[in-house]
Amino acid sequence: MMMRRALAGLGLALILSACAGGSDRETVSTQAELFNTIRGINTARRDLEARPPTPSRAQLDSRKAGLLEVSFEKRGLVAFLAPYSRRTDPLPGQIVVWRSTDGGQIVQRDGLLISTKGLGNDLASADIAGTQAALRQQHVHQSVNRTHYLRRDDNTQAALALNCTIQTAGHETLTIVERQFSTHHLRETCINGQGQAVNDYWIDNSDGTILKSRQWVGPELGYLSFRLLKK
Amino acid sequence: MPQAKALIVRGPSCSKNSRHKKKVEQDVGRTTSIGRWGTPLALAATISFVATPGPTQNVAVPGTPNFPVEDQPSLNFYGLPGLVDMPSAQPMPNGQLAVGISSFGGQTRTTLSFQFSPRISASFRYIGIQDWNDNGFGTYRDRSFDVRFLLSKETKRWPAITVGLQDFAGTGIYAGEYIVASKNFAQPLGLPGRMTVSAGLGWGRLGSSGSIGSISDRPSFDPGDTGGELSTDQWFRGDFAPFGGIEWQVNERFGLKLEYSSDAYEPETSRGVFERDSRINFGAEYQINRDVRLGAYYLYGSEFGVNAQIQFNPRYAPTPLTIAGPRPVIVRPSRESNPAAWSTGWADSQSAPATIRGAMAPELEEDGIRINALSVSAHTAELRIVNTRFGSDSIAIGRTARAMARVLPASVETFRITLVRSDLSVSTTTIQRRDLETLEYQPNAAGLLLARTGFDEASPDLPGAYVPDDLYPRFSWFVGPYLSPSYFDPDEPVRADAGIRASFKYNFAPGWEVSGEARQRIVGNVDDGRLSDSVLPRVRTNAVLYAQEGETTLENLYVSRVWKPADDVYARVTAGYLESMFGGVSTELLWKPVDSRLAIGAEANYVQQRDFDQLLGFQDYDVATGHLSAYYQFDGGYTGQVDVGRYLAGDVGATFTLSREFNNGWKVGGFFTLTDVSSEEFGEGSFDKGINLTIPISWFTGQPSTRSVSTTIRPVQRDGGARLSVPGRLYETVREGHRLNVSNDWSQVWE
Repeated sequence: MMMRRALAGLGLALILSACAGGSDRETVSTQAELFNTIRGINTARRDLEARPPTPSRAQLDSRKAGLLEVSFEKRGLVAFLAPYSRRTDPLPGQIVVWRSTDGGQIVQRDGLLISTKGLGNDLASADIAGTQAALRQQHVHQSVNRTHYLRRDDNTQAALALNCTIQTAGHETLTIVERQFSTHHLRETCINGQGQAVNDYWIDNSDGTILKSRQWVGPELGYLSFRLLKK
Repeated sequence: MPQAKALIVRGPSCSKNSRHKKKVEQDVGRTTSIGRWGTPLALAATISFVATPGPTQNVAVPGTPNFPVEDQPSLNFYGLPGLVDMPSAQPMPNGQLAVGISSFGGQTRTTLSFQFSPRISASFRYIGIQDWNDNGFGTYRDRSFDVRFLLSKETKRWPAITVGLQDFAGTGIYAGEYIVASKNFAQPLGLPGRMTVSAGLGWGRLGSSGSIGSISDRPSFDPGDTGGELSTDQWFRGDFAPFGGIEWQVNERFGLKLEYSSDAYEPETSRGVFERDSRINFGAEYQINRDVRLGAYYLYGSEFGVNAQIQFNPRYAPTPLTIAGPRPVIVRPSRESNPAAWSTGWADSQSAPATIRGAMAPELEEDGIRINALSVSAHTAELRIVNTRFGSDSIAIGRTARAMARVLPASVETFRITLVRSDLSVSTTTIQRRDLETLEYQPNAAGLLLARTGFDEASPDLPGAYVPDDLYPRFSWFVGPYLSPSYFDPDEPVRADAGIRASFKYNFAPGWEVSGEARQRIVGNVDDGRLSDSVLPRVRTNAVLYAQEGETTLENLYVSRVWKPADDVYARVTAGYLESMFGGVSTELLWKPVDSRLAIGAEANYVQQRDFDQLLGFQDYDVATGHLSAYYQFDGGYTGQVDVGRYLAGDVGATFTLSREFNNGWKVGGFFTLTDVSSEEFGEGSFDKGINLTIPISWFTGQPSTRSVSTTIRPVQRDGGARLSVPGRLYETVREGHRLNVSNDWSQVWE
């Protein structure tokens, strides 16, 4: 009986230490992968840190590349993302791909979110042409349509169509790390049959850049807030 | 027999350093090295932005826009949508899986239900009735199958109507049929919440109390019957009785149920299992979260009961799949602005393929993609790749295409990406570079790219291609635990063996593989099971003897070769100790055009039964067994398979399999086998049947993986209709890389 128990203990130890190797990375075990991944998830959770310090004005001024502050409300996370790619395509607007150090990406077209990657339940792509044009011309009371193509859990994507209205929320002076900007605050209220989402944009009066925004991504991810610390 | 969906995966490491962490470090490294766009992120190098979403974090926030959500009905004691003991008419959400565990009066029912389509659901149930003390059983254990069909959906005015067959193929203790209507009322009579009123008519068990009429005769339940045959002569015969009740879902969490039961519980009360003093049952339920609901009840005027209802949908993973973002496409300079970049002189260089491979391989390797062959010309490039990481080949195709767009000279316009699975080239996807550049950030980029993408058959080899010389030999090994369960023993519902296993795989040339696995049992009670009483050759029912004699065993050891005799034809030969009970030679030929929904296969095997100690020896029994198979993929993820041939016991017949497959790799199916063995010869259950479940690992972990776990649940394992378990059958490997599967997953191509 003692022997049995000792062996059972040994077995348990082995479960926690499944091991593989070889000249290439192929292996023969599903269990090992499961155990290792679960262990990885727990490690990753522990690694979550509290809000990182916001860079100072001096740090920002000396920095050559852009910097985007992203607040992920639902998960209580804040990160600073660097530009990975800037480009244009046949559609209007400048596309910027921002990335975090751990595989997350935010893609914006003229500051409007068009894709997320690496967050889970990502926004695959988005049709934001109506909002883009309305914000550019600062048209208020404008009714626009937008479509979010969202990643679903079963490896499909589905289009979520929203009807939105853009309204002014006044002119505001915005402070971003000790620097003040005069902005126009526009609010986009979007609905579909199931509910309502509100996007807020603070647009720089001098050049039309979206300096700060809070944008709704999808049902699972909720809202992301952005502050453009450095263009 | 558990079998992995794909043979090739990226190996886990033994170190504490998880894959997730490694990825982080690699990406930080790359940020610095690319330089062209990014600059090192000195400010936030340690911040984890992605984190790992927890199980509750993919739940939608109420009140925000969403996709329509289907109603999830509560379950009854049979694990079906219903009241307390009686059924209701609502279907579960499409694709839903439910596990119901209920107990009252010494009777425990465990039911697995699957909403196979919006209208059809099927259930498998295992029960134990204590204090039966009859027919040679102390505790009576039995298995049963149900099906339900939604005749009409609920509308504003009309109720949902469902017809159900309960225990339609077992020994028939729960045999009963019903037709039931249910209607929902929001804020009924000014009360909060929602009320569901159900009323129906039952036959058989459900017509045994308070009957109001009768349709001809119905034979009574016979506990000693072998069961298993469809009791079509009984359905909707005999007495019928009304039943019904009300469910009041007071708020999001709390619900009340009250019902009038038409079940007399004659077999149970006559054996003194419990006393039935009333037709009225009632109880309260509490929804703990989206998946779990618990209830407590008072039944039949004499018994308290409990019911645990677990429901989930394979479509919704507990952890959403999270894949580190890809590298962006690099857009070529225009020909006018930089004519030199568009020159084609490079294509004449002998070293071009090796140079290109050298530049591309490190990027692809980080994504678990291996280059098997490469052929380049001035305007076209073909890459043969092995995807070892992503469950969806479309992700591997997308990342390969991006890498090609980042590395190949500007003049190369056409990208051909050939998927190689288990050393077989299964399909070629053709993407135009211009489309990658222009569509990457457009709305519905995946749909637009799909319309411009070609899928073709892949030639067995790529003539004149550059083949890296370090592909072979490849070797991998694994040491770890195993768990081998055995279900539904009459004395012990679940038995299991567990221990250590060590396995290896050696690929010494294209298509060739040597593979083996040894096991050392540490604990287990399978060897305490009942010995076989089978009158057929005991090809499967000697499992207890195998368990008794095999403590240190050779699970398998074989050499196999796969190859493509022609573009649409795949072949396999495997020889050695194929599975724990049989060894020999297995050959297979499969015809599967890349865009065909139909595949035809032929398998011929000659095998001999292995010794009970599962070492190197064989017993006297040998058999030539094999099948002709037809596979068909219907719309909506439904697949059908028919195998006609000779089985291990020498019996001749056919196996029919119908499955539903979800895009994320989940697969739920059922099968049955009819052979020339009579139900008496077959024994309990009359014929072989069961349920297949395949669950992708990434569904649990949220991390990309090509692996999945599979299991087959049979109500009873007998010797008739038993098939050889051959490792590396071709169909799944080939089909996964073909047009329908790749295009179904195509929305991930930009991930």
